[in-house]
Amino acid sequence: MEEQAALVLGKAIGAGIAGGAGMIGPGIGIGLAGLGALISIGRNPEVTSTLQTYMILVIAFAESLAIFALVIAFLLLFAFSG
Amino acid sequence: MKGLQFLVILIGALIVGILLSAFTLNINGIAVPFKTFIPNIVVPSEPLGPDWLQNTLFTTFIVDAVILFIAFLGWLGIRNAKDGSQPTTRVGRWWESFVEYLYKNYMVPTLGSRAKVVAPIALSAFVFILISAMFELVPGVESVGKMEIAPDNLRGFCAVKQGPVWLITGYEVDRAQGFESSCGYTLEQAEGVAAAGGNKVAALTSDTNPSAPAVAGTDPNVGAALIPFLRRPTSSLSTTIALALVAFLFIEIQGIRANGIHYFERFIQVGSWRRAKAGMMTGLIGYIQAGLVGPLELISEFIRIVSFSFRLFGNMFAGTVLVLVMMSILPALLPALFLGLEFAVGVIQAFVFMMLITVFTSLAVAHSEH
Repeated sequence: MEEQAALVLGKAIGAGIAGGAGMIGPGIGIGLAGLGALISIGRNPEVTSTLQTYMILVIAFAESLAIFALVIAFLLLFAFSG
Repeated sequence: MKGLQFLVILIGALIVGILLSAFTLNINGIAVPFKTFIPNIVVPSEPLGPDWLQNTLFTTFIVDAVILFIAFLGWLGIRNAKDGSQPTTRVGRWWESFVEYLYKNYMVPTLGSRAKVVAPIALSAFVFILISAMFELVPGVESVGKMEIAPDNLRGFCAVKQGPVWLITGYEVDRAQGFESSCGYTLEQAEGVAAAGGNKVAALTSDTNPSAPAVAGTDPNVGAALIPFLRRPTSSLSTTIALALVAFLFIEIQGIRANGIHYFERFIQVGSWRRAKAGMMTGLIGYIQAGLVGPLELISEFIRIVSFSFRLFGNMFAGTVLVLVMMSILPALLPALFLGLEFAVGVIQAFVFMMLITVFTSLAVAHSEH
């Protein structure tokens, strides 16, 4: 029973750290992408539609890292039965 | 006045939601309490009957049927249209504007004349991912299915039979205490009318193994687990890996077709090796570049399979979990907001998948430096 408790504890802590810490970098990255796009649009409003596409692409790249962290957290929680 | 109406509806929905989160039904003479709960969250797809028929595969067939049906309607409209004129039906015009918008705005600027080759596969991926993401919004998907005994690694719930269907009450069966003491009603009551002749397994016998006790509730120690009939294809890693492999192979084949044998030069870096040998780059740095860049290119090529598949899977699966968690907090109003979010996520992910195929193909067909 104590082993079971330790397993649950480890899963919860691991998933929490994986999810939480893994979101820091992508958060900064998405913020930077939005910042760059907004500055460019402010200087040169005609490029809005072009920039939006590339901004969404860059955000998707950054977000995919956060999703990796989330997937690892999910795998730890629901698929890991050590 | 509009604002007041909205406020009344909002407060009413909140009250209904709070009331719905715990209620009691009188079923077969016993008072059965229900409450909201987070169901078992299963990462791999689950089999419906035979092993090859996973619920995500079944839903893939339905998604394909839906897409083919819409495409057939569109074809009916486009078939009769003369060259340069509009399609004759609404669906046909819808298809035309959809394809034209994505093709002219995103594919042609990136790919130029090659857009014609890439458009079918990229737009097919877009439509498939979009339609399968929209399946989240269909009622009954991921919540209606067949009931089975919970396996050891999952939680089992008290279930009760109402007419021909079983309902999960939301209370978990304590495996140490057994079904009757955890659920507050007996197995016979869970079966509905206590059947004469002990025919408990009539309702939910599994097709694959009839001898096994496959009824939720007949085993005194475990409860019921739900295997949904319909589950979004893209919330299973198998589907997204298949999509990613198709995209990967397509990109590589396009690169080879465009550059021939020279396509592989970017992985071996013959050019920079020669330049380093000829002394055009200073000393060691040239050799380091020649030795490192090639393998890195090769790795980044294969990492694409992982990033393609995990991005899609993670977004869709995280959406499912998010909606389930919100449903367990407040079942009436809150999930609707997050389903709206899911709609946006589905559109964006479909667009991103299409755009990444386009961009990576344009990188692959670009002439490598000599």
